[in-house]
Amino acid sequence: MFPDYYEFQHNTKIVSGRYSLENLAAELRQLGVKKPLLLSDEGLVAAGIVRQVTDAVENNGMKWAAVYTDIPRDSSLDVVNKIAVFYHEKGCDALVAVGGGSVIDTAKGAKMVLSLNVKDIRQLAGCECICRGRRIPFAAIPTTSGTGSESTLVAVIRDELRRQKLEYISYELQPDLAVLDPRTTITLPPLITAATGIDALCHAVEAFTCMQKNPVSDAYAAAAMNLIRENLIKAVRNGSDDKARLAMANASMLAGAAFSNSMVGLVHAIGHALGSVCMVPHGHAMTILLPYVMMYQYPKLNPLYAEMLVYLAGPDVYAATPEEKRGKEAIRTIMIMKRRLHRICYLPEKLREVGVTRADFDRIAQLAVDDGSMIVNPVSADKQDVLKILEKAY
Amino acid sequence: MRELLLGKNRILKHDPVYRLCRRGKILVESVILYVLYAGIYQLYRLDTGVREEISGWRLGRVYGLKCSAGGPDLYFMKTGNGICRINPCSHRQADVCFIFKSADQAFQVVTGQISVSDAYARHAFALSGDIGHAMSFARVVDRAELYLFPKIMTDRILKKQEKRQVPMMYVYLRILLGMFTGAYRTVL
Repeated sequence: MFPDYYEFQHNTKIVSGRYSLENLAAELRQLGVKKPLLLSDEGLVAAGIVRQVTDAVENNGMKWAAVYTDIPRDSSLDVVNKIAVFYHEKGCDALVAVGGGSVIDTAKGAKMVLSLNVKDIRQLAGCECICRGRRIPFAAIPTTSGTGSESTLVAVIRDELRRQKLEYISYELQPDLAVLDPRTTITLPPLITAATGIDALCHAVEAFTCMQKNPVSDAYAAAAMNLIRENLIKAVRNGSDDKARLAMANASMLAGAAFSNSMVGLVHAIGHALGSVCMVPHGHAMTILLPYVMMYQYPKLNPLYAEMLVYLAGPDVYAATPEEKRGKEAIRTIMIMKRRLHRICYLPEKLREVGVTRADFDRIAQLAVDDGSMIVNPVSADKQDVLKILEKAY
Repeated sequence: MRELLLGKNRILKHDPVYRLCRRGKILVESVILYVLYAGIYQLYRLDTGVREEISGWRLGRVYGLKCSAGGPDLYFMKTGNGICRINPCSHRQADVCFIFKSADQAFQVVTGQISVSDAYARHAFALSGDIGHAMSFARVVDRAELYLFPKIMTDRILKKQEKRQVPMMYVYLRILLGMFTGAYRTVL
């Protein structure tokens, strides 16, 4: 059904493929950058990824003003403020984030502080209430193929003082440039590749079915699902398959752009809660929950799931499946993918495998219904419904 | 019809019909916001769902609903025995505030043409503050709409059809009673 009204924006220039890292210097010059600040974490320094990026830029005629790699696993307001101060001290004029969701979210937070010149970004928490400020060129180089942070308008930053996670949603947070180079994900172990790949799939599925969906986000989501269908298992089996890695990086970016403009739903609401309460890694939570939430929502979303089957399983399976069974077949396809990934790399299938206990359910369910993702979930779910889903996934 | 009467090239803001419609919408929004507040105030005492949600709010937290820049607004604060209406000019910034982008989109929500979820899906408002707290506020508004709008409207706009714990007319009677006793006056 065509929406009465929708909005879509994707500001980010995508540079994808072989030698895209080497083109970074030229892209930064086009953005008017002379003194970029590189942000990353110690893990990527040790893996040699940071060195690859710094060398690629320096070999092409640009010097880094500074490098900051003290970013923890969970982005926090303290780190964001430290980076803003460091940026001014070193006289930088752009941010380049190399890393996963946490590093890129930290960079987004720093961009907010720098462009709006605020002392406390807590006052900016919310949705579509961040105005455009001073221009701070911002490039993102993802090193996982899952969160899609390089193309999303969301940043989640932890407030250590109040012990809560703050969500920032604004088109002003999208990077100017995203560089997708297979070399940055080649060292990802099979388990992380699988988990982040399913995270990207979850983004695409929820973007395709949420209340905010629109024709443009559907196109991005469908393209993402196609790429994941064709490349995720290949990338998990053979990490040095360049083509599969690049395809998955693109799938993640497309899914990120899709859900930025149509939001996510119940799977993410429960997944966020699992992360907060039981420290379940996001990709693992998505893998475990996706088919159970789809089964919960099947009575209402069957037509959309039926439509998704062609992207999830391919045109042959779609054509061979009777129309009334396509929705269930889409869910079955995801369960089969999950099972295969479990056999290849022991990707967890149930909540108890990741340390969740029944004693945690109540707190998880309460946090899940308070998650912002619930508002555009097409099927209503209260605390009792979430508890039932958790029980089935246990 | 308006184009026929007034000519196609009339500037909208000088168009008396447009201005009348706009003023009418703003007036309707003011009235409905008042009734919404009154409804939430009474439902805290009558509906367990609303009471449970509001009881979970931190004391002193301020919630706001603004129907576009310059349009009518509603601000209230969580107190020890429910909520009280406050004057935004004399109080600090709201902890959670829904700010509609236009009076027209606010009109669609307050008159029950679309739900808060639909409004969010259409980017009809900006939301400042903690999104988790905003979700609770949205659930209270949904629950209030269950009582304030007839079933023919709530069937269309609410995701889940819940049963009213008290009859709709009883809620309206309580709202009227509260009006006469000054329960909804601005306190701070």
